[in-house]
This record gives sequence, C-alpha cells and structure tokens, in this order.
Amino acid sequence: MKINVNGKQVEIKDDAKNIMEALREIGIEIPNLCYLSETSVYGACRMCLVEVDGKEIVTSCTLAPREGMSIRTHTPKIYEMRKGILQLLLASHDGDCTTCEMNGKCKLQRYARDFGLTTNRFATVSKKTITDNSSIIVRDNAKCILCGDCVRACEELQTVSAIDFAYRGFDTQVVPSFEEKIENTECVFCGQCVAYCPTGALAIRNDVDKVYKAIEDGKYVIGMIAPAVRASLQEEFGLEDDIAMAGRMVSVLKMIGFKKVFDVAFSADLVAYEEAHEFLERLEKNERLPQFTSCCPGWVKFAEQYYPEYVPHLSSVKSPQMALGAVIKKYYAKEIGVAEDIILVSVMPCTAKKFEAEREEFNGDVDIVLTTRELVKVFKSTGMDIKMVEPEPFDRPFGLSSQSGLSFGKTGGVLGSVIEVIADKAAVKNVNTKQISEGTNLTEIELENGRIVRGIAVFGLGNVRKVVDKLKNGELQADVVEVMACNYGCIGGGGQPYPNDVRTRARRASILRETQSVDVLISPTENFHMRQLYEKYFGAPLSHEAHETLHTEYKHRRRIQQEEIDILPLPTDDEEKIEISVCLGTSCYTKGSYEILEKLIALSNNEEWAKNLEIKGTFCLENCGKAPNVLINDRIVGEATIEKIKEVALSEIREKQGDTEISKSNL
Amino acid sequence: MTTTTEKRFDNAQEIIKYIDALKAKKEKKLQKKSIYVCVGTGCTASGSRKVYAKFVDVIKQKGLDVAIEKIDDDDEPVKRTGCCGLCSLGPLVKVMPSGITYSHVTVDDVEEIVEKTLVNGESIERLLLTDPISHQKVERLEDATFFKNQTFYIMNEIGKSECESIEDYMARGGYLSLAKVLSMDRKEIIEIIKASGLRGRGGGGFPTGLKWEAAYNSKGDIKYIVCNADEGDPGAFMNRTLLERDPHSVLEGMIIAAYAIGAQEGYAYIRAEYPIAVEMFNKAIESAKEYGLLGDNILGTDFSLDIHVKEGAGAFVCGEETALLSSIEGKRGTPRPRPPFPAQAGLWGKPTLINNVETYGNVAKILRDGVESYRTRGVQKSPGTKMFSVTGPLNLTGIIEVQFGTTLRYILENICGGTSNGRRIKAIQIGGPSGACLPEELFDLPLDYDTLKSVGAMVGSGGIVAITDDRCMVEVARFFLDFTKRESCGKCVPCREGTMQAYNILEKFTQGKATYEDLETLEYVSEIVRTASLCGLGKTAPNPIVSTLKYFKEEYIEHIEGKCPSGMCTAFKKYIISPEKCKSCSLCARSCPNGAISGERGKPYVIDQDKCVKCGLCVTKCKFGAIELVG
Repeated sequence: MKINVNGKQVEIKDDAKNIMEALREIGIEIPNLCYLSETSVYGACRMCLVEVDGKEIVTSCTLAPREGMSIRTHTPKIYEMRKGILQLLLASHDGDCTTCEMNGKCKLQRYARDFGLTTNRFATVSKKTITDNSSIIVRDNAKCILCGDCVRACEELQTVSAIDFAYRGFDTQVVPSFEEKIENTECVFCGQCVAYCPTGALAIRNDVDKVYKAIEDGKYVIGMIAPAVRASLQEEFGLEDDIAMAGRMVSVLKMIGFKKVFDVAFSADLVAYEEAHEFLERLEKNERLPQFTSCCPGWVKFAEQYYPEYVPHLSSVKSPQMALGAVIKKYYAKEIGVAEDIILVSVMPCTAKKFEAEREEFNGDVDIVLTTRELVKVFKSTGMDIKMVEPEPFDRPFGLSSQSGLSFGKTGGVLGSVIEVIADKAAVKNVNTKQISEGTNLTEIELENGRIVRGIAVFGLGNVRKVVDKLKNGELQADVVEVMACNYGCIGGGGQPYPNDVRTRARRASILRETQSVDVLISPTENFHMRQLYEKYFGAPLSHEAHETLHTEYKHRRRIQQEEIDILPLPTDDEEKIEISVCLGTSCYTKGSYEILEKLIALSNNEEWAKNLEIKGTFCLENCGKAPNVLINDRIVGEATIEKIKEVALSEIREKQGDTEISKSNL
Repeated sequence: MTTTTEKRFDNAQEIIKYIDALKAKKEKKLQKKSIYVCVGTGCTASGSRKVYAKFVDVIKQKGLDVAIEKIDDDDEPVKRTGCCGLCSLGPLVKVMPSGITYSHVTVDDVEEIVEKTLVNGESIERLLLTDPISHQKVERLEDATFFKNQTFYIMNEIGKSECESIEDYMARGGYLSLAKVLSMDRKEIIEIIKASGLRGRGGGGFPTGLKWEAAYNSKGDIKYIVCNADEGDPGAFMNRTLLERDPHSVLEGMIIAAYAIGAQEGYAYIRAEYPIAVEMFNKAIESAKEYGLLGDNILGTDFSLDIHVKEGAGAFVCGEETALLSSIEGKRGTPRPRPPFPAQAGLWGKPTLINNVETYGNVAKILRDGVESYRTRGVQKSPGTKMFSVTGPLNLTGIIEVQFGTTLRYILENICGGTSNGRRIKAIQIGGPSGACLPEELFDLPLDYDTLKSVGAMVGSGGIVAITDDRCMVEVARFFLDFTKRESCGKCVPCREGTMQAYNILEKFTQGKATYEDLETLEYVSEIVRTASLCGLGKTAPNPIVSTLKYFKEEYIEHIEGKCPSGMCTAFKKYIISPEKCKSCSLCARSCPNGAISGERGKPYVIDQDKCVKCGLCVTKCKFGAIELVG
C-alpha cells in the first residue's frame, strides 16, 4: 500500500499492524516508550504522536494504515509535545543516571539527549516509591515511567502476572499484589520484565563483587559459560559476529584470575545423552509421557506452580548448569584435590539460573551465577580490548562439545540433541519438523520399527501454557516436549544485553548456528570426554550413580498449603469413608460455604448413608470464581449446594461399593 | 397480588391493550385522595422514609386506609415517588387530588397534613414552597414559575409517579415502544433514532443513531449493550435522579437499543454510591422479567436479553467508556486506546453499544411519540431537552430540565431565581470538573453542544455551577484540577504527570508564589495535556485552566502581582493587630496554635507573619476587636 510520509510517497506492507511498525520497516523509528511489538498496544506514553492528513494528532501505535493517508512524523507541534512529555516524565524521575544500571542503555536518557534537553521547565516532584531487593529481580520504582512493558511482558507473553499496576493517578506504581515482595510471588524469574524495561526500574541482582571476593580470598575459581552467551557478547563491543568469542572469554577470565573455564555446552551433551535414555525408558514403559525437558528453570517453576500434575513428567535430569556443577564438585574437585576451595561461577544468558543455583535441591553446587550483562561489566571494567585478546580453548575435560550441545542456547536445541542421541541408539527413518502455532514446532520422528515419536519444542510461557493445556485436554499429542521460557530460547534470556528485542534475538540465533557449524562433533554421543565420564563414574546412563549425581526431583508449589481442620472425624475404616472438605476461605465463606458446612454436619448426624462422611474445613481450593467450593475425595465441586454435594457423594459411594442399591428414598 | 405466570405477556397486542387499561386506571388514581412521598436520595437523606412510614401509620390509625376507596389491591393511599429534582427542599410530599406540594416535611407535620390537606383539602401555608422567582408561596408545583419555565420531556409526572411500579410506568405509556419495535426492522429503528438527531448525553454529544448503526454493522454473534451510569462529576446527579424516579424509561431504552443492534446481554454500570438507584434499577429488571419484557423470548418473539447491574467502585475515570468496559471485565479501570471503538471491539472484545442513562431515557419516547414531536424541543443540531444539575449560591438548586438552546441567563434568572447571597454571578462552570468557566458576557449564548464547543466549553454530563464575584477564578481552577489530578487513572503520561504539574503551579498562584514564567508553563502544560492525553478525561482536564485563562486572565496576573481580586486566597491576606486598639491582654498570644503572636505587658502585641497560619482564632479571642484581616 502507498502512503505519504513527510511529503514523500512510500510503499508500506499491506499487513502492517500499525503506522509505527510500518514506518519502522522503512527506516523511521517514531519515538516511543511503551511499544512492544509482541504484546498488545498500550498507548500510554504518547510519544509516538503523528499528524494524520494535516488535521488530527494521534498515536502511531494505534493508527491503522490506510491507502493514500498522509502522515507527518515530526512537525514543530509534535516535536514540542514530545519534548513536553519527556520533561514531564523527567520531573518525577530519579535522574541519578551515573549510578543507574541502565546508564547508557536507557531509552528515556537517550531521548532526553536526542531532544537536547538541558533544563526542565517543570519543577521536580517527588513520588512515593517502592524498592524491592528481595530476589534476583530488583525493582526501584523511582526510575519507573509506568510504560507497563514489564506488566504486559509478564501477563501477555509469559502469562504469569506476578506484577501489575496499583494505586491511581500520580501515585500509580507497578508492584506485585498487596505490595508483596517479588520473592513471595509467582514470579518465575525469567527476567523478561527486565529485558523490556526501557529504564533502570528493573534490574538483575549484580553478583560481580562476589566473584572478585572469591578470587581475592584465594579460592579456586572455576568458570563455566553457557552456549547463548557467546552469541550476544559481541553486541556490547560493537563487533560483528565472532565465532572465536568463546575463546576470548576464556582468555579474559583466566587473566582476571579464574583457574579453569569450562563449557556448559559440554554438560548440555551430558544432559541430552542422559535425558534421551530417560525418555527411551519411559517410552518403552509408556509412563510419565509426555516427558518435559527441565533445562529451563523458569519453566520448571512455572510447571511446579500451574501444572503440578505434570511435575512427575519433567525430566529428572538436572539442567546443564546444575549437572556440570554436580560433576565438578563431586568428582573433579577430588581429582584435582581442592574440594573445599572451589568456587564455581557460571555465566548465563538467564536470570532464572540465579534462582536455580539457589534451589535447595542442588546443595549450592554452583556458587555464583553471572548473567551476560554482568560479564560485560567485568570485561569492560578491565579495559581490555576484547578483539585483541587471543582466544584460548576451554579447559579439559569439560571443554569439548558437539553441535547439539551448543544448540541448547536456542529453541529446539534440547529436543534436537535428544533426537540425535535417539538416532544413535535406535535407527531413525525420518525426521520432519513443522510449525504448528506461534512459537511451537512439532517434530515427528519415525523410528525404524514404524513407531512415530512426536516431539514439540515451544518457547515463551504464554505459548507454553497453550500447548500444555492442549496436551492436558487431548487436543494435542506428544511424547516429548522441550520448553524454553523466553522467546527464541536462551538467546533471548532476561540476562542478555540490551536491546533484547525480536530482531536482536533472531541475529543471535544465526550467530549461534554459525558457531555450531564449525564444530566437528555432531551428536552428544560423539563427545569423547562425556563418554569418559560414563566410563569412569556412571557406568551406564540411568545407573544408580548417574541418578545420584545427575538427577533430581521437583516439587509442587501450591500457593496455599493444604491446611485442614477436622470437623467430623469419624473413626471409620478408610475403605468406606468419603472425605468432604468445605472451603472456608473468604470467597467461599461470603458465598455461603459456612451454611453448607452446617447442613453437612446435620446431614451426617441425621441420615444413615451419610455416616461415613469425613467432614473437614479447608482454606482456598484456588477456584474462587466458582465459590463456594467443596472437595469430595479428589473432585472439586464448584458452586456447591447441599444437593450437589449429596449427588456427588452418593456417586462416590456407588463407585466405591460398586453397587447401586442406595435408592433415592434414602435421601 | 397477581402471580408471576399471570403477569407474563407473550404477545405485543395483548400488552398494548393492558397498557391502555392501566392508563385509565392511573387517571382514576390521580383523581382520588392519596399522598406521594419522594424517596429519592436527596429526600431520603433529609428523612423522607421516616415521613413515609409516619404517613402509613397515621392513615392506618385513622382508618383512612380502609375509608379511601381502592382501585386495586396495590393501590395504597401512601405512595413512594421518585426524585423531583428539588433535593434541597426535601422531603417533598404531594397530596392528591389537589396536587398541593409541601417541602421540608418532618415527621411532626404528618398528622396535620393528613387532617388538613388529605381529608379536608386545605393547604398549610408554612409548608408550601416559595417560588424563587415570584417569591410567592405556591400550592402546586405546576403553578410555580420556575417549574413552568422548564421544558419537561423525560422528567414527566413529577411527584406523582410511582418509581417502583412497572404498572405505573406502563400507565404513562411505558413499554409501548418496545411492543411496537419488536415487529419493526432493526435498520428502521436506527433510522428513526438517526432522524431524531438524538445526541449522547454523557458528555461528547456524539450522534446516538450513528453509534447504534456502527454497533449494528459490526459483525459478531455476541454483542453487548451497556448503560453508563457512572456519574462521577461532583455536584452532578442527573443520572441518579432519572434512575431513581423512572428506572423503566432507561431500561426500556436499553432493551430497544439491544434489539436494534442485536445484543443478547447487557450491563448497567451504576456507581455503588447510588444505592437507591441500584435498588430501583434491580427492581425494574425483576419486574420487566415478570412481564416478559426482559429475559428469554421477549413478548413471545425470538429476541432474548439479559441485563445485569454492575456496581462501580468509585473511580471517576470509569465514566470513560473504555475504562468502564475494563471495569466490567473485572480489570483495572483504565481507558484503552481508540480505535478500536467499543462498537467494533468492546466488552470482552465483542461489539458493544454504550450510551448514557439520559440518552436511553429519551429512546422510548422518541419511538412512541415520533421524531417530529421530539424535534419540537431544542435546536436543529441539538434537538430535545437536557437535564442539568444546578448548584451554587442560587435561590433554587437541584435538577432542572430545559430544551437545548435555552440560555444560561434564562436558567439562572427564570428558573433558579438568581443568587441567594445578593452577589453578582461572574461566571458559571459548566460540564463537570473538566468543563469550562464562562464569563457573564456569554450567558446569553444558547446552550447546545455546538455553541458551547465553540467557546471552549461542553455540555458534559450537565453540571452547572454558579460562581459569584466573591470567588477567585484561580482558586476555582485549582479546585477542579485537584479533582482531576486525584482522579487521573495514571495510565498516560500527559494526564498523570501534567495534571500534577498544573495543579502545583495553580497552588503557587493561590499561595502568592507564582511568577510570569509559571503562567507560561501553565499554558504550556495545559496544551500538552489537552493534545496528547489518551482519553477524553485527560484531553478535557485542562479546560478549567484554559477557560479561566481565556476569560479571567487578569485574575491570574493580579495574583502574580500580589493580590487576589476576590479576596478569597488567604495567602494574600494577613492578620494585623491594631496598636491603638490592643490592650496587651495576651489572650491572642495564648490562643495562637502556632506561637505566632508575641508581646509584652503595656505594649501592643505583634503577629509574626512568617509563623501565622491564618487560622483566624485570634480574631475570635480578642475582646477589643483589635485584630483585623487586611489584603
């Protein structure tokens, strides 16, 4: 379609979502502070105003392209509006840029510079602000411009909704509900909120000082670097892609004082190898399928919270970070004889990896996790020109990796690696991959015996939720599912450099592919050092020792622990009894659950068949929309009435006794 | 009482016959002895429900409940009527058949009213209301000049309708339109509304017919109808009045609109601070269902509609249509960018028609009495009437209804009877907190959507505040900005940050700290908020500033120069102790809460101006009249 922009005829895409995106394609980035192409349009910053057909001034993010329309993107009036909006924002913004995490990367700072603001005609107004240092995601609302990018990333992309707006007008703030600390919310620490925050209101806890302290204290500091890090580091140094980047990182870390630097891609091979065997075993026994990957700690927490029924389906193999951590602390430390003094530092594209390292299941095997951005700070502060640093190989024995191991850094990588291993073990006739929905690929693997194994690779927790729901209701079938919480996988992790947008992520994926392509090893099975680990310690995949070291267990994370009060505990034998728990939480109580409880007690006292009811009070079955709720054995009865309860209880009794003799007259 | 099954009508012709019968019955009712007590919010607040109960008691005691012949079982001698709009005169009581109306009735007056007026038909002089224009006592509301000078269209049968009774509404011709339209083509109905020229009464004055057409043209199996009754303007209560006095007129309008656009479900979003309106509307929904006018298969057709009441939680911004829809969806009440408009993607993303209470209130009458009749009132581009709530130091305040094109001066003088404090009205503020202040020179402009827009004002929801010359216009602007600033939802930058900046600057003016630079910044920020805000509330928030700057700029300048011309801003004043009159008794010094007064025996006391908080306590304490306010 043709439109007129600033007096010139231009051709834009017919299917452009809005004028903002259409003009971005032709080289005009209209200033904006609240536009995320992946989420719904918010339209709140009002920076992207344009003039349409010489009359109206409207936001280009909400403006639908129309053949022949005439747009002016930069009239004196619009320039003045944007300058005014910036000054309004700055008047209540913590302008202490030098000590801000986003110094030099901040969009607000950039616009202030671009618009040449040297003074602010508005008086400074102070805001009541909230800070939260409780978790690895650090919030300082004094720097928040309320663009809502974090809220939409969390709600729409990740469907977690750990944060939202609270309060009104000038007092508006982004916080978890009831101003709870992030650590106590359902946040999965994917860090996508941080990735999209245009200012320094959201940041990742900085652990760089801990590394220096460990070196200072004379610890045996070992580094390990994740695949995705080497595909993004060059962005920060103004370099084109550099397949020697991993080697340069090793060099710099050694110069700083790291004793050894290993490659997490090595343990990716290890994990893929072990996990493929785990999968084949489950496939053979036809149990706990589909098997979900568990390399992504954001996804693991997500599953623990929202899909507890699938927690047993998670691969019990640890993530590459934790697997290598265990191997180093358990075997390698002994081999080199420095057990007590090892400090293991992993460098990750991921914010949730910090959370994972602190999970109690892993006994602190990994001591410090740095994100890519923290590593950049370490490197920049050395003053070394990374281009001129001579690359150095990863240390043995955990330095070798296959193409598969490296591919863990992006979507499809883990599934691909598992398929490679399967191909090495069982003959595979055909592999066919197609995209089935947004962020979701389906791979069909035809085995020699004719069996077709269905594997799904899905990224972005919002897409994940859709896939898992479909698996649950049978709309979709799969045997193995790879899940990565962030869009495009680890390369789009919350700890990666800014900007962390779609275009940048696509670029990283291609760099990672290029880096992989020069690797001579294709499948994890070919990883000689990994095989040696099996020979020396584990024996075979899924052996007892392998389980001890490489496997773990995950847990349910119900928001509210089941706390029950016995109301009518009757000493009946377990065969007979029907457990009825009446929710007495606020929602259910206001909808009359207490009356139901009273009626139930009366019922149990007065009617013969109801003698075997074990009545309990409980708190929140997390089904408040359908209050009052009652749990009968394992069945939740929503919008419960005493009649409904009777009906379900009776059918439970019938099922138990397998007899239908209890006639209606007994009611 | 008839039973539910008997009441249900499955046929339009039958209900039309039934309505005719009810009309005759209502005429008879009005010819016999009965008492109508207003139970609207205003009168309830001044005790009308107790008065009502007392009437019931007294009449029972005296055996009149039996003595007065009943027309049917429901015909009680004491009836509850809806708001008459004269809330400041409440509780209001009307005695039929004479129509004698009493104001400020208390429980103690009840016996006397029953004896003298109900039984003997005599009026009680002291309880009669005073016509604010003729200053004469009037017996019947209809005789009062202020009443005659209004044009009633949707506020008919004032004081003698039974607000809770669907039959009373039907007796006044209610639901005839619904019975009629159900056999009409949907497009035809929309054409009639378009031809009537009805415009949205919620603020913007958008042509209602076009809105309906857009919703009708939107494709979708599911459509919604919404009534915006989140009346948030301080001092404005037109919607409340209408919902309390005639809920069925609004409901019928909604049902017709739903039929016209093809909606199956609707919501009335009523603010929770209007409990009586909520109660009345819920009752109206229930009785409409009983009569087969709402619910499944309305009047035997295949048109079904369900309407729910959703109570608003008090945010002003939820009166903005997209914020209102978010609120119904259970989300934070903040506006969404438009397009898409609600007619395209509204409630839960479905095509939604949203109109104001008063807009719906007009619909049934337009369809019943015809476009021509409707257009006999008002002006070409703004036909019909508008309810206004008038407040300020006037002889009459409350709800009035006038036709579009009436001048402000006519309202102020011929309906409200001029000022009650003897001062000159120097400005009126029209259109709610984001309306404009108009100076006396513009009082002769006809009130209609377009004329008001041309002078930078708007009809808004219909609030009119009279401002007399003892009020400071800068303070007026500050007051309204304080409101919009607090009620800003906080979503878009210009409104959230801009109203705060504007407020702070206005406060500097009223505190005597403003400079010429501040005046420029105030204009600058007003322009940003007006042009760049996301929703209508933000875009209109600077109106009080822009209009006062346009018509009363000299007051701003005088504030910069160190004087508040109206004498209202205390910051410009100071208390001083006259050395001649002071007897140095120290009483003022001892009473000063801030220790601002000092002195010693035998010498006049002095006030430290830096410490003085201008509370004026010393003035009340001084026995010699030695302390005065100057400036």
